[in-house]
Amino acid sequence: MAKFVTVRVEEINAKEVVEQLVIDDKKQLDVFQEALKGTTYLSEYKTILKYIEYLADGNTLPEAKFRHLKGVTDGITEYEFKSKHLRIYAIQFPLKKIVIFLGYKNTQDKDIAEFRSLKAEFIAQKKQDNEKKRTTQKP
Amino acid sequence: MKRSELLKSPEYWMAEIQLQLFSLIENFRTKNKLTKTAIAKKLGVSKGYVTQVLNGDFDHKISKLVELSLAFDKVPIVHFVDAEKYIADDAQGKKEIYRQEFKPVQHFTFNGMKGFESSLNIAKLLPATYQIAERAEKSISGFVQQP
Repeated sequence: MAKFVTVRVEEINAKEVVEQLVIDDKKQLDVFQEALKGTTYLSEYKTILKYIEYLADGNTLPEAKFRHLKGVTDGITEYEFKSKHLRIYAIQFPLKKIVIFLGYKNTQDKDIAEFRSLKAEFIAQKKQDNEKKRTTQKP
Repeated sequence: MKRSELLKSPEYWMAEIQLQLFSLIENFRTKNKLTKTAIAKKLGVSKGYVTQVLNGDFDHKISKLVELSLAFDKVPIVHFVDAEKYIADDAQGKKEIYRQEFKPVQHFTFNGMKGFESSLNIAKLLPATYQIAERAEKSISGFVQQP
């Protein structure tokens, strides 16, 4: 079973905290950034980071750059940030956004499925951890 | 990627300007309950052009940016800030001081003569501190005028 933690996204400095998912010690943004090296998409990637920051600063984004995903079943809001070719998927936690997965426009359906699968695993593990903490805190 | 690298990238600042322009027009549009067509008419441009700006994709000439700002009763003031200073301020959570809507908190600090003078002006607004501020101001003028 993969180990999930979250860490602050160092590239983003906004009023609201923005974190990213770390899976088995690998930061999601670093993995994606590595995959983009040498491509023309790195430029778009920087632009999307700015979009996330703008939203986390309490501003509104154009519909063409951002949307709430439909079909949420667990009550946790899902976001999709968009550039011409790239997509970044995130969720809303109390007082923070968490980047879960990054993908491409032409693999959108597959990527959303992967994002939701990771989100579900992360939430399940988070619940388990919280449960453990509660039981160990009991006198 | 480091935060400083992102802050030194053209993409970051291009998106910043595009989003600011989007916010300016979108806020005006929603406040006045105008359609994109009505906005286009006001500006004398095509609906497609307005859509482009409202999609955050504005990338036209500086003259167009100025025209757009003025059409929405705003003046476009451009500041060139030293990159290293901005990065340092950003790291300390002070990037808001560079935003147009930022309203500084006024402190009664003795931060050099200028700061002191502005503190006096604020102090003079409060009845309880008016006389003290006035006396301090007189003594400063005397001090400054001395050869």
